[in-house]
Amino acid sequence: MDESMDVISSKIAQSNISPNEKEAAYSILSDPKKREIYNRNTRVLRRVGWLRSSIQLKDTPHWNKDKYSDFIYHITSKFLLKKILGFISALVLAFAYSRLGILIIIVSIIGTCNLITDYFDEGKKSSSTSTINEKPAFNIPEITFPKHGIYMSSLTNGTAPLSIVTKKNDYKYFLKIENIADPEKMALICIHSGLQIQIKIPLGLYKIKYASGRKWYGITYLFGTETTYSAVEKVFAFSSNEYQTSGYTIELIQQSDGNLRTKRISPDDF
Amino acid sequence: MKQKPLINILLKRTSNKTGLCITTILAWVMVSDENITQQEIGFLNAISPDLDKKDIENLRVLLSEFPPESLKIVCNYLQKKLNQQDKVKLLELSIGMMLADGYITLSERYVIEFLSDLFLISPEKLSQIYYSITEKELPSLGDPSSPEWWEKNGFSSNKEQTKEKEPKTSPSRLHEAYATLGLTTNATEDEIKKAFRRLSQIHHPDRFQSLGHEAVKAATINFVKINSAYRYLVGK
Repeated sequence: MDESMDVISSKIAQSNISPNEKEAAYSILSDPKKREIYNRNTRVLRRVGWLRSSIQLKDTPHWNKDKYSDFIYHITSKFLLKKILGFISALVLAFAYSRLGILIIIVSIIGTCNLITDYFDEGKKSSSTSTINEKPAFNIPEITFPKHGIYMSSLTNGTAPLSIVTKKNDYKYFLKIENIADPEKMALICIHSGLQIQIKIPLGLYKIKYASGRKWYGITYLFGTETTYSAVEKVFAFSSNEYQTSGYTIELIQQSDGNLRTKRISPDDF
Repeated sequence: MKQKPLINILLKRTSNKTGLCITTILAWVMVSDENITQQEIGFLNAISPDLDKKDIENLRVLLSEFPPESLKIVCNYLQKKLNQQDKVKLLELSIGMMLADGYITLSERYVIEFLSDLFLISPEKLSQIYYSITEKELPSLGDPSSPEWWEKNGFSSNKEQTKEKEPKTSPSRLHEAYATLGLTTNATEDEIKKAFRRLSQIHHPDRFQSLGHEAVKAATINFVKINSAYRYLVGK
């Protein structure tokens, strides 16, 4: 997650900031301890920025815009277009009922120009900074993938064994085991590359889906835009009789003669 | 790509939604330094509303990642549900927790400023709350992008840095006790008594009854810590 000093130095060198600012950035970021604190503060501030933007805390009376100018709310083109269309529609309606058509058209043009100017003003403010916009997935920094094992689970009193094996590569897996009869009964499991996990599952029918990727962005965005979503086509029946309890071992390793078919699914189906 | 926020699962299972949201906010304040200690997990266990152990673990995992979608739901909920008086109390409690170890980190400060803005509490009121707890001015944020900020705060002597440098390693009991009361180690007995009286009034659990039992428990933890620090210092 933490970039090497070579990468940081190269980024500083290529950045569009003054030599003094470059020197300042280097002096702070070249010290591992300072860098750690700086990065942590930035992560918190980005989340605060995202929260403010998503809760619509824009232009609140007590927020010090100057102090937090790096993290201002960014008006997007989609939002702007919606505003302009709303504005024009209202004026067209008014025009239809008015004899002062020409005057209203002029007002309409002026109003639209103001909105566009506002947009570019916002754009200017944000162009040189780490702006929070309406695509939080790309603003949320990569974080450490959770520890290998059960991330959360509502499955209790498991008796049937389930073992999952993955291949050693850069990819991590976020696996979901869902009870078919009651989807509320499920477990989310984090599997690190090349590691195996063994858990106990309550008896019943289950489906298994998983997301994989290299960089983790948290439970909401998983592996970000690179997330690959898959589902195992088979339904897993964990059952028992008087002699034994049956379980499964799944190898999430692509094999030409494998007996477990998977299919790509959409994020919504995950 | 979006997952259902974990907080929704927890909210669905609890009958005490406000308590859960308050716990979440307090825990966010507590872990905003991204370092969750056993003591803090114990704290979560103690103040968590009617959640079972598994859900508390889920809550801990959830907070260790700060999933913004979940925090958004919690913030929206509290913004609508709490009256202004209770919002101020929640901010007081959050600042009290932030200062429980006597220090304030920049990331904790960002969270507090955000909550203050969310609850429409003016910077003046925030400074006033801070002063009532510490009898000190709210320090200016400064610009951590400038070397002056690091220099001014002093990497070796500054509290922010000292805390970051030795986050949860065992500071001496004596230093910890002074820090809990917001004092330096050369404070007089009179100053110790004065700080104790002020802090025990501010953190008295009865003040937080209207916020529910989670807030009362959180205040109790602060209150007990202040009491214990005072007993240690006057008995030393």
